[in-house]
Amino acid sequence: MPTELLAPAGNREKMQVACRFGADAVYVGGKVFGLRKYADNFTDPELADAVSWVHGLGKKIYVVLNGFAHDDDLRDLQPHLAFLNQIQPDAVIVSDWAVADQVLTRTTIPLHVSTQASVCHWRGVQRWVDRGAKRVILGREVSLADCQDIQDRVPTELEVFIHGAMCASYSGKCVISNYSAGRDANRGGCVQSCRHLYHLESGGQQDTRYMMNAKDLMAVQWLQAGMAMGLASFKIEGRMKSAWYVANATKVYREAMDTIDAAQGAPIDSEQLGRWETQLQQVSNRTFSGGGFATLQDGLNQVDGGYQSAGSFVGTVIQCHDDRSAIDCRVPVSPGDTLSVLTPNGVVPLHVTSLWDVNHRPVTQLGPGALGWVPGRWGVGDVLIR
Amino acid sequence: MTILTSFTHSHERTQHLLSRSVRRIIMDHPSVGYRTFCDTAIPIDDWYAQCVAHDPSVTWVASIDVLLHSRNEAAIGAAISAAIRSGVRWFRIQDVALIDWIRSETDAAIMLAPEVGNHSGAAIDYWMAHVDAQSLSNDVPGSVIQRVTDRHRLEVMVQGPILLQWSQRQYLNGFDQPDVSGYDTEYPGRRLRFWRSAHGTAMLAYFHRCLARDLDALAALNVGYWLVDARGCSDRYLSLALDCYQAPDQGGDVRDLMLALESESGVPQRPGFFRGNGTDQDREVPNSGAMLGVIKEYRAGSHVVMQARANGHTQQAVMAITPTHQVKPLSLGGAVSLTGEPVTTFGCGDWLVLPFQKGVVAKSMVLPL
Repeated sequence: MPTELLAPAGNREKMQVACRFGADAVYVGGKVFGLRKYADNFTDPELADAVSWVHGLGKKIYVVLNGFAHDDDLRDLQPHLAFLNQIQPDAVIVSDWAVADQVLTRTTIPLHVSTQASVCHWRGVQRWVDRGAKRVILGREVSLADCQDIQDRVPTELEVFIHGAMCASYSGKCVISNYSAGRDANRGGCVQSCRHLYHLESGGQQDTRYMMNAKDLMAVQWLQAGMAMGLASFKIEGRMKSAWYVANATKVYREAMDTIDAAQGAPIDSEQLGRWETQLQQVSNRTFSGGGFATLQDGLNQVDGGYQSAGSFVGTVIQCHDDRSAIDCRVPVSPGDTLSVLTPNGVVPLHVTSLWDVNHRPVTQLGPGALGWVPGRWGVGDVLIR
Repeated sequence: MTILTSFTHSHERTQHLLSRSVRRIIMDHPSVGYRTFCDTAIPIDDWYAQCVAHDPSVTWVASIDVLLHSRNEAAIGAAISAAIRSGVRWFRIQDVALIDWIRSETDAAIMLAPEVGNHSGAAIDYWMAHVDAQSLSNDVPGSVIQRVTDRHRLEVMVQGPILLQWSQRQYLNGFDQPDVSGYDTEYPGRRLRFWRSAHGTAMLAYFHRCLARDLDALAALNVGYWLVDARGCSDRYLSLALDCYQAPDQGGDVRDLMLALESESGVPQRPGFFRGNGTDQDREVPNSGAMLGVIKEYRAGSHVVMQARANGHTQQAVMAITPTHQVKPLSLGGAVSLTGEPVTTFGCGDWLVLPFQKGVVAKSMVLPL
């Protein structure tokens, strides 16, 4: 089986973008019990529609249920599982053994084990497989060599993160937000305390720094090895990230995986790897590291708590009509601006000669939050950037 | 009957615990313990053997609280073997991956101490079928514990530092000592503690768990084990803590003991989530699952744009709830598509341009009446 490219879909727009830019599968959260409570997420009708839409493209869709449940959550979960069993996504992603138990006993949906479960060794994988898991998403602390060891010992589907933000701690082993903000980090309430600035003291030494601010993961250089060992899925993190991020990361990794596949084992030249890395650096990021693939995780950006980006996200194409495209605008756009349109086939310049509001009346600006029309017939899901 | 239990990392601490008649002692060792607060140690074989030799009638527990990786497999294997050779009859583990391994080597009992993961009655019940005892996550309130039937197999941490986060990363680089204190600049009054070991870095809360004022409620739960976790704390702290829980009637006034614990540790003593877990109130926006759509654009005097998040029709009676929770009347009558065609029915994702309706601002939820 070829390795799957799995992209985040925090809402319908991002789902369309991910599929348009080459994802083989997407993962989404419903309104119940995902870990991204503050993402848009999908209502039940949207989930049903999404499953149907994604399946219509011949792709897969996984529903995230990866919080660690409290009693009230389990009460809400039962009708949600009954609903999911009706619409049959390709898997649900869980961390909590009690939730897994309910999924396995109340539904026929395959079970994927979340990275929140911190499975880092073949014995952990074996335990989940024995319980009925179809796939295990390994902890981000697992090296590629360990992936090989696990794959050799337990012939099951393994999934690894290849791109995106990373927790400072073992995922699922952090409760800072619970105590600092009254929000449960393991039920979607993480306030990202690891991105904060800390003052530290010890034995006369002092420092103030972003001590736990993990660089983002970028694993393009490890793809070939991962594909060669038969990993089932490469996952891009980021249901809360922008459609631009989803489009860019999905496009680059799609191209990289297709290139590696076509190379049939021949090495990918470093210039090509460098080009992919440069493209991945265009979108807002905290600088990059290879995560835990090579060695123990390091990759902390202790100097800077912010993001770097080579541009700004303008909006996503939501509809096309005649020679115009409707966008939902995130930053001001005016006639005379030059934008870029990120399409699955490349980046195309767009000189904005005119703009129209949703009623097709000419306007001199589209502001943040506005919907309107720009010149050109682009594809739904194409992304405009400045 | 509830058994008081605590950690040891040194012979001095062991003697202290034995002198206070603690009969269940967890043996910590830096090769397999991520927060032993002890970075030099004798070989684990010797450590376990010497502990047991202090008093074989004590229940000695081998603690293996690192997560299992291939790189620490040898150390964990050595710990399991050493414990077996020393006649240790209990293991205390964090990673469920160790259960089958230990079971394949010995019939010793296993206590699962997952830090995070056994929060619900169902999860606790699930693990009861797989291990002999469980140490509960610290954010499980007494009301949940009360619903568990096998409470005599549960351990509750009654006193000690609360682990907030554990990372494999070495994020205290540049500091000479492994023990660092500090604060998040967004919460400057909260003094945190960090500990670096070969396994990574641990972060401890700005207060200690202290259930000294909740002894009646605690006793009523009738759990099997009370854990006084004094790892990284002084012997005096341990003594004061034992005074609180071992013989509360003889150890002096609880308020005085708590003040002394606060003074000794430098951090407040609080019950944490034992009395209730406020994070349970932080749930999804009510009714968000039932919404028909969301307002994406509000152009005063001109139009409102809704994106549908369910199937529906424009004759439906609906209302809008604004981001500030104001209820506004709304009509879907007169809706047109982005291309100007009249809309009577719609599906998920469809865009509806509506005549202007005052107050139905962007991000309002549209709900059926």
